[in-house]
Amino acid sequence: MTGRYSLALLLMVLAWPVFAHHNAASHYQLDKSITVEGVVTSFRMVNPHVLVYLDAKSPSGDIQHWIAEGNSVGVLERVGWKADSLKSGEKVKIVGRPSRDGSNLVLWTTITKENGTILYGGVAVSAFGEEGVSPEEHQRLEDLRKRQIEERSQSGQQPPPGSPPQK
Amino acid sequence: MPYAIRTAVLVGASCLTMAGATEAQSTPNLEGIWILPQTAPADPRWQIEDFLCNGAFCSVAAIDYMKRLLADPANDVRTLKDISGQISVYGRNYVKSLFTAAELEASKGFEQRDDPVNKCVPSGFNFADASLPIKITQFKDRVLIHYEFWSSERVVYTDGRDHRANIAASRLGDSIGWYDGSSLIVETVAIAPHLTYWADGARSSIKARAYERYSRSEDGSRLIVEKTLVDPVMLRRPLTSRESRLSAPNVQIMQFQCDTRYVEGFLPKQ
Repeated sequence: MTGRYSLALLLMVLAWPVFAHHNAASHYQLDKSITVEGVVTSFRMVNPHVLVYLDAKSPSGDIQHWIAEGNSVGVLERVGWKADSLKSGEKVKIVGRPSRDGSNLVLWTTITKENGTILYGGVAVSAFGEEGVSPEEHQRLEDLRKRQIEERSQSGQQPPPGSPPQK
Repeated sequence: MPYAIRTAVLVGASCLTMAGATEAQSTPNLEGIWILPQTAPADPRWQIEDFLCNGAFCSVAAIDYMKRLLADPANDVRTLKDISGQISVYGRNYVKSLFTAAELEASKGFEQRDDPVNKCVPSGFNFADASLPIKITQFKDRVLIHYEFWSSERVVYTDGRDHRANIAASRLGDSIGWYDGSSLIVETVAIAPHLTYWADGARSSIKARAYERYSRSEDGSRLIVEKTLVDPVMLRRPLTSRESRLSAPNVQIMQFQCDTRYVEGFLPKQ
């Protein structure tokens, strides 16, 4: 009944992770991604942050207890979360950011249920191209950017002097 | 020093809003419920900039940097993820460049389990709104700012009084305000030292002061909040952040109560 977890360093950075009570960067490694697969042992729709407890199997086969931290109740309820959005015993795959101190904490960006349903809203609506943004939302953001470029092009606006260099 | 800072804030006012010159004698209407993207991400009024850098941890420097990036056609082919990453790196480096050497050193030992919020102690002044909705109500002699975050309320006195003498430091400090054209300027002192979350364990000192400017966008649909933190112990120079909030009269301000079950989640394992 337990899952597994893996850690992968990704070349990615969040913009400004919007998080309910603190700057996520002060608690989590935002340039890394972790995947934890396990079984939900408790789902707590509480402030300041909603918590998912799960048991996962480590690479050595031990059962490890994990906590996945999400956004505040207000943020999640406004995008459709309910107290029974997750139930104990459900198998889930959680993708997110690992803790800075190495403890079994993850700042979740998505939670995928066994039936393939993906739950969003864990971390940031401001994370472009990240797994924390639904495909629809991502497309909307891309459309916004496209429209901005078109409007600039039509206005004949010149780039400002001293534009920052590309990476 | 305070006078110099006040002057700097006032000079900034004229740059922030053009409406100030024509509405100098009237009290601006700042009332309403104001939100950031995370409250209603699908609201069509949001612009791309709002998702890239808008909130308590977006310095004005980072916002200016973002605007230059987006305005440069050389970046049109880049992904948003790529651009947002560049802004993020710039923003973090900029903020760190403002910290005093002593603060950088002192903040190194911070561990997330040391965060008082894990014990249901509310975040301090610098993160009073936590990107959640706020409600502003104006009276003749004061302004009330209600934060959904921690269901807290702040009083800003606008009747000309000065700060209370010998007042004890508190989470939201002691605030007085005055109107400057189309803006409300708020000066806050007696801010209890707290984790600012700007970087690692960076804490404000008892010497911290804050200067905020609240004004509406030209079309009235947004509330622009600029906050300048001045702290000679933590910062070498003032640090200014900017939020651009949308008017959202239909959003319900929710009750925010820290649940002890959250605290239990962070207790050390036996």
